[in-house]
Amino acid sequence: MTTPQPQRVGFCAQRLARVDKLLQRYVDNGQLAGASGLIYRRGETAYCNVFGHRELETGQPMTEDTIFRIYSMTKPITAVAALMLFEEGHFLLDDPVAGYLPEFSDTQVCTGDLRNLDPPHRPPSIKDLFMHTAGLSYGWYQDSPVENLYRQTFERREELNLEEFVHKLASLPLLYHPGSRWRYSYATDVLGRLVEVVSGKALDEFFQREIFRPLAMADTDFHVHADWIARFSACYCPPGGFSFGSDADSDADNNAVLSEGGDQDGKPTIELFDASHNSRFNQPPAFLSGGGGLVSTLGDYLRFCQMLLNGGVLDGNRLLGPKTVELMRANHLPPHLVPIAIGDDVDAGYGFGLGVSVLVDLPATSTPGSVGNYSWSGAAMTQFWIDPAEEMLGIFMTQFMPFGHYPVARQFRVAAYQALID
Amino acid sequence: MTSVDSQRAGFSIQRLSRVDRLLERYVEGGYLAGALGLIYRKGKIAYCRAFGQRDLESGLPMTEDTIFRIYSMTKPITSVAVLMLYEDGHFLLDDPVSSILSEFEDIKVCTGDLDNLVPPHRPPTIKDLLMHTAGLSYGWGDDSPVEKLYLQSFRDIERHSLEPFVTKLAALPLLYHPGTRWRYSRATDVLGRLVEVVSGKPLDEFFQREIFQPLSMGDTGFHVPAASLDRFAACYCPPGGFRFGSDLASRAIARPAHRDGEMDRTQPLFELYDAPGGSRYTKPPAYLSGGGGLVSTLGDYLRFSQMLLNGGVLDGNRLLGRKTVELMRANHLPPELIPIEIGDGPRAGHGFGLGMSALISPPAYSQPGSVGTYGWGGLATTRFWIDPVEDLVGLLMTQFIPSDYYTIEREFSLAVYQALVD
Repeated sequence: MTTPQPQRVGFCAQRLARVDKLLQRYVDNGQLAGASGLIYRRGETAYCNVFGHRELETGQPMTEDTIFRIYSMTKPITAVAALMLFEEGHFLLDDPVAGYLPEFSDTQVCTGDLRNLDPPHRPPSIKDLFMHTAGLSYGWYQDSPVENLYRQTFERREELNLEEFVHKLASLPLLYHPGSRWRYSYATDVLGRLVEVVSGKALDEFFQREIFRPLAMADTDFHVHADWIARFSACYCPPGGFSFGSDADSDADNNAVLSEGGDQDGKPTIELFDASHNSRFNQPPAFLSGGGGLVSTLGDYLRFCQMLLNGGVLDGNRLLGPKTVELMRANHLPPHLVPIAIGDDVDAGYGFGLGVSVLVDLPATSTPGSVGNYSWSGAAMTQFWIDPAEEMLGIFMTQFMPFGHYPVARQFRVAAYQALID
Repeated sequence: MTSVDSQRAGFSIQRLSRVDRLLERYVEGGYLAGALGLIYRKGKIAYCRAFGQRDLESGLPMTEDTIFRIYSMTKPITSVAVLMLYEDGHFLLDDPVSSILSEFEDIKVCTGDLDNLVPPHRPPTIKDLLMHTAGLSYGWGDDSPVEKLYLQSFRDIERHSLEPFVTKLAALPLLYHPGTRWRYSRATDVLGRLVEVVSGKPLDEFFQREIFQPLSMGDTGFHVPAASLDRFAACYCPPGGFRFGSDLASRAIARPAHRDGEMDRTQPLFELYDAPGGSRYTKPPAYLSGGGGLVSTLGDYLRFSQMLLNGGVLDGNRLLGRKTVELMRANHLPPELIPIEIGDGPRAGHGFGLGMSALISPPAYSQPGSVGTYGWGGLATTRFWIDPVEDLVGLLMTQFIPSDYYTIEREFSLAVYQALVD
């Protein structure tokens, strides 16, 4: 990565020190083991810095080439893969999913109880998969009996391959009629399977050949290669542990903004969730999750974002046409489904495009930014956003679950934007 | 102040004479003792003229360096102070007020009578304070039993500092659930206290060091220093006097007709409200009101406005990032709370941003102007507005209470825009 040149691209070096101050505070307070942040604008890296440790237990420092579990930041990559096949003419976005994955042919909708299933008002489309409007879910909640079916069915999801997973998913009822709601879901995993079926390649192979190699994302894959393990970060969680589907709303009191004095009682503020050396990410998984399976680095994900910011091309390698990227980053949700919400966490001001959230109402976000920003984040508190109006992007990476435990990603955005002065 | 260059700023000199005629009419007709108007556009002073007397009783003329009670034009300055601390990472806008001012922790809402208080649907946030949506009021109305409590609690508020004020205010119930209404209020005084608590400095010191000194606003403060007293204007009011909380609806809408100016009135249509010599502004106040405590000059407030128009910077001194100013001047009110309304008077076409009104519909306002214009006024008929589309600042200063007794602010704005010809 090149030396940051903030002033050449409209950033104030002095004000960027606030980004340092913010991330250093989280590390000094013991709230995060390590953190890294990057701001890129108009062809230059305006800011890139790392803090603390990628693994406290081994004393390894956070570095620019640290490998992170990017979880749901996999989704935009899967979305790009699907759009590449769309551009190639394999399907239209409004085509029913069942046209390519016939297991969805007889999918029913559960609007009340499991004994009274209805046929969907319209079949779920490929675009519904991009947008999380297909009727699918994740099984994290209690507001539908189908949620419980998800938990039972996917208890050992990691042992399934993508084909088996999609078959099981298609046998469960939808939670709502396609298009009538927005609900975060396994839809992007289905999209991964669609990429496999349409391209005739395994998802990891498609990613490697069509995306990672052309973009020179050499440190991105579904597992940590043996010679990467030394650079792999540990992942942390609050004391007491964390599991997917546990009460994600218990994080309200952990606002780290004011706790500048650190932890006064000497209690540990974090505990180890997943160490680098014995992580499940160290072996190639059976389940190639297009919804959350990748590991990557700050530099690799920067290249992916640059490709999108450039309208689909990087260093002469074109993945998508600019009009397809425009369509991808537009808000596709009707007004009554805006803003999106994951559980009780409302993403005020955000609609949704094809695999990314889209900022449609700046004041509602209560954060500096631009209408048209598109972004997504990962469960281990990683985040990226692309701001076409300012020709900039930001990436924040740490390894701490769950995402909402600290407001650091949002604070990083405030710190990045307040330093933009041209 | 630099010399006036109307033509190069896109104004017709001939048409600008209508501004002269307007302000002359008010002065010669005996409606106002004096008035001072300024238009700034594209880096140039397009218009700057003083009319009449700053102090009739002592026969002193209105001058460009006259010192005015700017009352609520203090609010945008306090809001900028808050946003400066926000940029420094001390809090997020959606943080509860009680995260910084713990007095607000157990605040209740009075939706009917005082015996049946309920907890708020959500806690008031710092953004609510910036937007007057926190549930607070001023104690001027009679549509809630809480209004009377305000009058009782804050009778001698001026004798105390901000800390006991906030304690008293937080002990009163809110008038409505946060976010459900817009109501002009003492919220900005609470923000002043928030600035003190977060910065560790008294509000006057923070203003001086962080805003007035960097912007060279040498004549702005919470009192008029002895050396400047000869430049301090007298303040006038309608015959019969004025007091806060009096029935503002009973005022007659008075407006000088064109012919009025030709027949010089021997008796003015107003009376003295506050003479410079005996004014409470001659001594530093105990109560540092971020909602209305400052005195300032045309030139000083122009510099503050220029800073905002420039996106947060003036003469190399940056107070805010451009994206923060963008967020500040955006309308944050949902459609159902538009237009804002003070007392009986709706401000047609206006929403509200972070500390200032935001024009969202010139047709609804029935005035020439631009969508996105932001500004505010003071009780003694002072007003500023910033039009980012036309790269323009307008400033009108008089000293006559209350501000909506005359329609001069609208007439001034009209006279300014009709003269814009490029």
